[in-house]
Amino acid sequence: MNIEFKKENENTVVDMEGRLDTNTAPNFQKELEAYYNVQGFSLILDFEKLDFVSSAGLRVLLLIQKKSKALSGNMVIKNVKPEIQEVFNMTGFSEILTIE
Amino acid sequence: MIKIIPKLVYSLNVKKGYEKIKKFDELTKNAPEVNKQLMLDLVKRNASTEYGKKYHFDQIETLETYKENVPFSTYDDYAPYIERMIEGAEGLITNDPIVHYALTSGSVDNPKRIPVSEDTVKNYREYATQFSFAIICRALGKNWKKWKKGRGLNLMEVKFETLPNGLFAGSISGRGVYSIKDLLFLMFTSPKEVVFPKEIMDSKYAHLRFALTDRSLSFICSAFMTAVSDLMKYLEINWELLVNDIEKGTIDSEIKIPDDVKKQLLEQIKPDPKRAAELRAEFQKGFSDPIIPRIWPEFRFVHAIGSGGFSVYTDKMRYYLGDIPVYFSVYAASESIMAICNEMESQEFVLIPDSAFYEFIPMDREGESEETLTMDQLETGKDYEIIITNTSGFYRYRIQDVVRVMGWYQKCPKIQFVYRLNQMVSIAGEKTTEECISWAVKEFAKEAGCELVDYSVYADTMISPGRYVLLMETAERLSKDKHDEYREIIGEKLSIANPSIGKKVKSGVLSHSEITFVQEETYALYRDLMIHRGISGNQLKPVRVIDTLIKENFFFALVDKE
Repeated sequence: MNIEFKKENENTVVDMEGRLDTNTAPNFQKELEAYYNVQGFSLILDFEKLDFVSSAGLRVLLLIQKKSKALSGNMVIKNVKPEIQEVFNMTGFSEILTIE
Repeated sequence: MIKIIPKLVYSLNVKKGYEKIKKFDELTKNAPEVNKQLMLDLVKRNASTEYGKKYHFDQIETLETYKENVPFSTYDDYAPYIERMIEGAEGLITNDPIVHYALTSGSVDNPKRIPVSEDTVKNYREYATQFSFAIICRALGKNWKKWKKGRGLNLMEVKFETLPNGLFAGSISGRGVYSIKDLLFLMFTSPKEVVFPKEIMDSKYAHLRFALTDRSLSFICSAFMTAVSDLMKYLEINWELLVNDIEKGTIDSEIKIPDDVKKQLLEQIKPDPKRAAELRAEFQKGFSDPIIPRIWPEFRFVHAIGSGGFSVYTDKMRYYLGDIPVYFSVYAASESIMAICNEMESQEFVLIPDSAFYEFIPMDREGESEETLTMDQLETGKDYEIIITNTSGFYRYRIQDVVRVMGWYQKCPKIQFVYRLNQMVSIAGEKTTEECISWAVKEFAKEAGCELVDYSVYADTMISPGRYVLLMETAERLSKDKHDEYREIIGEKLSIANPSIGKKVKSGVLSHSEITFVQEETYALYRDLMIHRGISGNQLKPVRVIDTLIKENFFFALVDKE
């Protein structure tokens, strides 16, 4: 999975491409640590080029969501493909995550 | 000094435990009479309650009149009383003071609030703590394996909400921990900030951060084995981070702990390069040789519910424990502690005659008769639905558990939990229990040569005829090419576990059973999600039956389709 970071105003936008699964989730988590461990962080995950999210990927998203609560941060996910949106809906993640 | 204090505290508990064993041995010699007398005492004590008046408790002087006057009950029968009790009303179902409300683990949407009296808490304290520590101490003996009574790692956390009547609601295991709150730090390694979490935090890290620094750690205790197994898996993945923090006296910035709590924890932490070096040397050798005795040389046992549906987690723990034994604790529920192990490693539980009054309905009885038996009328090897009258105001309560009589301890039955009635799967009357599913899945793993992470069963009635779908997570992904072969194996194993399935598949009443694999970390994700929704980690039980739309959607969305 390719990850690219860019700054847009106060937000960190993360462009994600490929698959967020057992193989890529640990590295994704590590790369994002510096961003989601900051008080009041603001992350936008752009899923436009993301094709797949597995259970391991969902665990990382849940972790960042928990961090946002603890650190008064914010995570928004945008441009979600219908097949990933379906997984979010079925697993109850659409009620937990902020999806635009 | 610090080593002497836990030793004194545990020695005192063990001493009380030996007295309890002595008393228990006396009670079990005469268990049926003791048990019947308990029921008569409860009825007499509670005759003036609303429930007692409704069912004429004042006229009950024998078991027969008790059965005639008082109907079977379920939680719904007590719910209106409990609502009023929570608002402050007294004397409705019991005259004994209620000190807590146990939130049950079973339902995510609407957890039950079970009243808990001081007597029930006392029974938990005396049996689950004092009695069990004495049993463990006696079993470990006086040789090199002797328990030196160092501190333990307690994974039971206390998360309570306050009710309008001022009492706490939370897990029953948490209430047990709360009752020894002043002794906690003397008995266990985790500080109060971790045991009484005010906010969500990385609790596995927090528990391990303190336990690893104590070379003399003696044991781990938890309500369920699931939490112990998850903790060890976390250690296997994150040992470098933990050891670095122990070396430097820090808490890594990636660990989620609220700032004020982190500050308090850091005040209790000092750099410990010597212990870090010792731990690092052992972790670097890998985990293939059991890690627990290498990092904690005085570690002697695990104390957790780990039989039946939890056995897959107990099997995983053996990998970390080696030959260190497990004490399988108790057979209990929020409503009552009902039976206890009186031997190390035994998975049979002796009914506790002075904790609740027990009635039994034989599972092999034909017809609709609901005539109950008492413990002296049971037969070894047979299965019974257990019905309890507890010390907190529940009478002839159908707890929905089926137990098997494994043998006898004096005049008291030794039982094993077999399955929950509401967790039994039956598509066409074949009645498949958790026990059948567990056996079939384990046999499948043996034959397919895979390591099982977790499993569930789903009764698929969307196709006709209906079929069983076994969902499994395995440690390594299995070959898609062998799907038909795996399907055959699970079908065969299910037919052995429950011959009625085999007959019904052959005669076309059921379709052939199916097997489906879920993605890696699916069951861990489900547990994370439940904890995120506020369910206590103490109460998380394995998902054995996919019986709600929420579970169905969740697990089928995460099927490994690749």
